[in-house]
Amino acid sequence: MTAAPAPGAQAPRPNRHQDAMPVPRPGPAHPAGRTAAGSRRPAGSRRPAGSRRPAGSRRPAGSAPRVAPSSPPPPDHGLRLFGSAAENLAEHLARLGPVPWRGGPGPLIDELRGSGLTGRGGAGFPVWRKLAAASGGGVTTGPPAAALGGAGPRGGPATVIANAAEGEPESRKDAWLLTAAPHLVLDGLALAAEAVAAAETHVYVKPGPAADAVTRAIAERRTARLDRVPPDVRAAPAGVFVAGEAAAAAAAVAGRPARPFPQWIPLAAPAPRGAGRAGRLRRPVIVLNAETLAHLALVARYGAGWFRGTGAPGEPGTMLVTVSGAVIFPGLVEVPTGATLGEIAGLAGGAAEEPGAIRVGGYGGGWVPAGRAHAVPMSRAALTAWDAGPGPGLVHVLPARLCGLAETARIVGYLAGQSAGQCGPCRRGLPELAAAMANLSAAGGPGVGGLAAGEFLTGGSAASSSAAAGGSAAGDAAGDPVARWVTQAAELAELVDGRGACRHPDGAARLVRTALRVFAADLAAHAAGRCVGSVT
Amino acid sequence: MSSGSPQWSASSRGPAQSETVTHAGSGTRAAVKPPTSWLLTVDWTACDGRGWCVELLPEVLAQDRWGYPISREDAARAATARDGELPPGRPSRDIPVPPPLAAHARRAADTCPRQALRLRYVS
Repeated sequence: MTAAPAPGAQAPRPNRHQDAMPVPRPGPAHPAGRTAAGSRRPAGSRRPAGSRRPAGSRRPAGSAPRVAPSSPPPPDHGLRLFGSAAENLAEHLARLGPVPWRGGPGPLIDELRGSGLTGRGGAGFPVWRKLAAASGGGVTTGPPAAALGGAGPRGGPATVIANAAEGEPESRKDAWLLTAAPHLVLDGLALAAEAVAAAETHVYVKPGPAADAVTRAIAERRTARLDRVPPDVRAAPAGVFVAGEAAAAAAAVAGRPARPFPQWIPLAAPAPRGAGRAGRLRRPVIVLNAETLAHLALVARYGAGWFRGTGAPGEPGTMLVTVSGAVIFPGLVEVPTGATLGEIAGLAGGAAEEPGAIRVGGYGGGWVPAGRAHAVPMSRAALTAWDAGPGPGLVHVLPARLCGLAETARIVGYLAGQSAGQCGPCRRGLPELAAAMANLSAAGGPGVGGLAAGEFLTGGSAASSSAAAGGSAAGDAAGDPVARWVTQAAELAELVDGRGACRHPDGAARLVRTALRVFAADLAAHAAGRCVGSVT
Repeated sequence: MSSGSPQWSASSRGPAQSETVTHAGSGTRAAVKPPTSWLLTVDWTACDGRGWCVELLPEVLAQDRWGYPISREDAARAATARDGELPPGRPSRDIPVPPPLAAHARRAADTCPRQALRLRYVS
């Protein structure tokens, strides 16, 4: 990594996509030459697809080519996705070469395992393990191609879903990918489908320009007879936070409401032996984030070694990060994993005003104090120490003049409203948590208008009375309303964390827990009857 | 545990063995808990807090403020947080059941009126 740029650096760096914010537009608004990498690429490097000898023609089965011989050179290592933007099929094939079919499950899964590619949707799960589970399980040693070649998994053929539902309100990356590089995502989807012998593939995305762009791209591929299993586009409900969760995506594609459901065995795994009739009818479902699939398509083309050439060692590669809040140029940037938050903010033009705190990982992410955030790497390993994670690539800069407690209260209120209401602790706990944070920020601060607890409560009088009982239990903090709401919020965060079918309550708990720690100075100020913003 | 253990360790395997054990026990959050092979998992979409499991397995489970089952360990965590200390780590998604109580846990899972409990053995 290079040294972190000075705060307030004005010049946008090349790994920033200026067209990506605030609203993604359909393909024609994104001339690919305007991406930084595209304009740098020498014109002579383009050549028609397949102009050299066909890929893999002289190779024994199972030995994966490091770089497909017929492909043009890989995109600049720092701008892998931005450098691969191509709005139509001809341009995509000219830039990246043909889809590198691997002839079965083994080679691609091995290559992905070697690459260390992890999911970019927030959970960071190793991609190869999902595919290995669906293609029969236990691909750990030996020649998987031979072992798995013909035999399909129990419970019928798999379904692969490209998840671009993007439930995080601040995220723009998946919409940008489907708009500017739809064929890269669709290549990844087709390759994943080949690796698990899938019978169905779907693109799960909210209606809008991105869905229109990917629909056009699928039509192009259908005309070119490119995919063995042509994908179809399934509409994700707009404005529903939990609809992007993997199980919710699987449910929506299966025609059920887009809500998470409990998974006793992983979605991607075939039913275990002895699971009975219901188990035999269960099909493995592989849900991969759109950005993950785009990286997968590049790993298949250029190999594991190339992929590991940049980024943090444990989670290599590049990642798309949507930067929002008090920066000069809010928008999408592409950085190697492990780039510091200071570098990421610098790529977005630097802080537009004095920052107070940085929220990493979205609404269900964690707060990092601005004074320390500059040098914190955007990687799972480094952010764990802050009780946060990269999430789906989100960085938000909160200016120091805004109250971090009020901002947390606003977000937890939103998350409470977005609970699917299926799980008791989430349904009843998040509104109480939101009310505690709202009351906390209202005491001695600008607050959010002095919300009554009941405004967040959905459970009626029973919930209100239990909230009151919980409040009186914290009687040792009597007399100090701020201390009372702090203890209330801290207890509720523990009571909702990990107690749902999905991680929605976990995210709200994390946000509150980090807020209570990071905004400690502000808590003291609130207790003294004034608000000092988000000075950390 | 037994008085003979340190002598055995010192004579046959040397201090390296005990060091390794200590490190494994204090390294990650998951490893802090004693090794347990039975795990109780709640289907939160099904549970409506009737409380049968808490009556049948009081050694492990308590009721939270809404009546839903919570491990006694995590209930203590939440109480610690209420008292103004933020405990390190996070609550666990699965509830460990000591082996002697496995039969009681099985009964709690089998008699749950909402069939919201799964007991699994993790080797």
